[in-house]
Amino acid sequence: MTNNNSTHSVTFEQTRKKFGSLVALDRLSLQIPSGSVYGFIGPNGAGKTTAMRILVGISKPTSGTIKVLDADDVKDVRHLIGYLPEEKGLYKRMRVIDYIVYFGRLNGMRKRDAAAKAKALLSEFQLLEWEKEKCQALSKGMGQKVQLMATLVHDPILMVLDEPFSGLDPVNVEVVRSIILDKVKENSTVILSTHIMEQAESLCDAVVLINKGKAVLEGPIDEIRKGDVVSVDHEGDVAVFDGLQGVLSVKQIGRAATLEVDPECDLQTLLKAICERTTVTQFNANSASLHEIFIREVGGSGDTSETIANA
Amino acid sequence: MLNRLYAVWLIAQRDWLEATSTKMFWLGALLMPVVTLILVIFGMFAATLASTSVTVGSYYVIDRSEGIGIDIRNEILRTDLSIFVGALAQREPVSEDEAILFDVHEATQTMAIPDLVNSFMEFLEHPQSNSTTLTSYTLAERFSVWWQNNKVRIVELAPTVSFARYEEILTENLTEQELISRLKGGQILGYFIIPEDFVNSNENAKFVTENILKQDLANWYESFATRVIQNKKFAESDISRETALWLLQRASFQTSKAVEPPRDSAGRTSSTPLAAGDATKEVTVWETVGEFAPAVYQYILWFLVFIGATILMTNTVEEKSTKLVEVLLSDLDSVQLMDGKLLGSALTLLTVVGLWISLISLPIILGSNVAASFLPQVGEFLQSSALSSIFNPLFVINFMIFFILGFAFYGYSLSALGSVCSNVREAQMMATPINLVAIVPLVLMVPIALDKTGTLPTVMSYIPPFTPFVMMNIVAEVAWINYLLILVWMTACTLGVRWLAKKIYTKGILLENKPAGIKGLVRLVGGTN
Repeated sequence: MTNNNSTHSVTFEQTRKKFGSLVALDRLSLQIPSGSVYGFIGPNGAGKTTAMRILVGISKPTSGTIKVLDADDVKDVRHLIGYLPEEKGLYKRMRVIDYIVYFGRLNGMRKRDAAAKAKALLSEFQLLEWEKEKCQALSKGMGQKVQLMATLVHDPILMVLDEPFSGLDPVNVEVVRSIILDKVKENSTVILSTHIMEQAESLCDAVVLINKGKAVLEGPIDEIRKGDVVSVDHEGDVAVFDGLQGVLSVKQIGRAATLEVDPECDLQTLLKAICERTTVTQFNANSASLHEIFIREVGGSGDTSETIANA
Repeated sequence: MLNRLYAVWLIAQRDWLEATSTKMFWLGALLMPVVTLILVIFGMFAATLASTSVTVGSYYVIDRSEGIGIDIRNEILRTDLSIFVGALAQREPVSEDEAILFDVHEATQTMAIPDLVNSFMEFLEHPQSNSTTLTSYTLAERFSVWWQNNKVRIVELAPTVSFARYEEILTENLTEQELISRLKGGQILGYFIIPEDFVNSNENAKFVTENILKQDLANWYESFATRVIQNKKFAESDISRETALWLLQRASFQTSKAVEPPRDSAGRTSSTPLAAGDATKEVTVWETVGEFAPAVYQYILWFLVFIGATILMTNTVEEKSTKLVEVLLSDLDSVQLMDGKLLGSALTLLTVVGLWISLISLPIILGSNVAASFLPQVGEFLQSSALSSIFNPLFVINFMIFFILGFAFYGYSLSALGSVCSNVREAQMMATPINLVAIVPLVLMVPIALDKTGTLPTVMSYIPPFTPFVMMNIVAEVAWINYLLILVWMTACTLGVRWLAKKIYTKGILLENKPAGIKGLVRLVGGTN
């Protein structure tokens, strides 16, 4: 049974991947809801690409399991998946249309159908006048769009996009965003990895933050960001927050302080306690941005160097 | 299953189309046989030139013996006279000819050439007696005068006379210092030193020259010297030259090939006993060339397998570096990708072979007569049985079989190596041991061709890296049972290499850094991908 009618398109269950002594993915367990945009976020070398490679069947887990579109073996549902890797290459001497058709045919399409779909995509991506050109004539951004078209040509119901926005100008970023959202409207599932937290925040329904191969945070964006940051403008110095119940950390620049608070903390009680110590001119309870959460969770521990398997 | 094969075919088709859709491909493929043909023609031309071109110039003889030098000079003269008189005997005189030529021609019609030559020698041989005065105008007298004064005309009528090429300096009594000086100055080709006891010993007999590679003068002079010494020894033994040569005649067997005995209408062999020699035919030079056809096949096979496998390795490295392979592997298994790329490269190489065969067939289609009118050797070759030796179905079929096995064996190996490397240079370095192993059958190609049933080819035919090439060379001599065993063994080894290559390729293609040598590769094979 390989369809997208079940609740979850992908289920990682204690999935582990080792490269020699390096643990690239450490017992990852998560479920990716069908018909959603799901983000893999994390620093370089965190294990995002490894997880995606396992997901599309390029790599096998050392232990644990993965179920994709209800199939225990991803090979059975390959034709339903579209994969765009992080580093994008093209057959330079191939014509643009032939390149897209080629990948359509590799996924079981008939040549005529693949050609029709390729033309439609080229039109949608405003590259129709380039269809007869060789891929080597394309700019980096255009090349990336062609790669994305090759990922989409066979109408996958699960799209796995590794850094889909890297190298794209703002106009093309919007084109890709709208494509992703359209696919989700068609009940497809899109899994993407990105370094741009704002993109993830505005596009993803849920994310998993992976660091050093482990899932540090996972869940719907709203839940992850749920009000745990308070901005306070006041007359005093940073010492006024010392010992306040529910305050986890404080950063102060000038008269503006940002407090990280326990999600269970009662904000009325907190405001009253601060007012007893200093003159408060402004008090705002905000949700933390994904960027702030990323920095907080990963901190300085992110290994920015590329590792053996671009894990 | 069909879907899997279709994907393999799509990969192969794309690679084949990409490789063959460039001008460079067709130019290279066309140039290869053209360049080879030019080289062969140049080789033939050079060989013909070398065989016909001789040094022209003078030489000197220091004679320390008792007149052997003069005897040799006379022997040369006698030969020249025989050549010239023979040429005149064959030639109908023309009105512009000098009268003497008419007379000599007339004389050849009534007298034996050796007798005529003897009569001329009386007036021409060395040393010329001062007492010999020309009193009466006999034919021999008139001819001797004419001979001495018409060297250019003699060469015109008989171009093979010795002085057309070499002329002994007779007039001067030169010292060795003077001769060396002339040698250095390029005025003489060389000089001979005939020692005192030359009849009994070659010791101290010398040919001094500046160009030691040019031996035609020495060989030519040696042949006359040999004849003179032999004559002296025959005379001392009181036997005639003819008797002596008869006594010394070597036994000789003409190399021949057996021919199929004639068959009757029912296909039975004739019961009539064949006369001696009827069952054989003489072996021509081209037939001997045809015997080397398997070696030629081996060379072409080696060339194709290595060019193809190296291109495959380079493509793998390039696709890895552009990360295209990652996209492909999300749609296919690594083994499908490897098979597809191997098939694509094989199709490309077979396209090249097809093109070459078409080019070779062109003169056959045009007709051997047309080809012969341009190049006699080519015509001779086409009319000989060498062509059927070369296009023998046994060789053609086995070429295909061992091309598939050999290309798969080396193609999978080099693809796997390419998959673990980050750039072409790295891949070439890692492929060096494989290339060194593969060059062995090429180096041993000729010894194997000369002893096809020997221990060396038999042993080598069972060693998988050598099998395709050695088998191509010896296939006609291998017993069926051995042939089948070798085919099964080589197929099993190729499948083993494919399995191992798949293990390496699957993991290697995703690596950013190549594993450390053999240990790294072993680790790759051992772990999960």
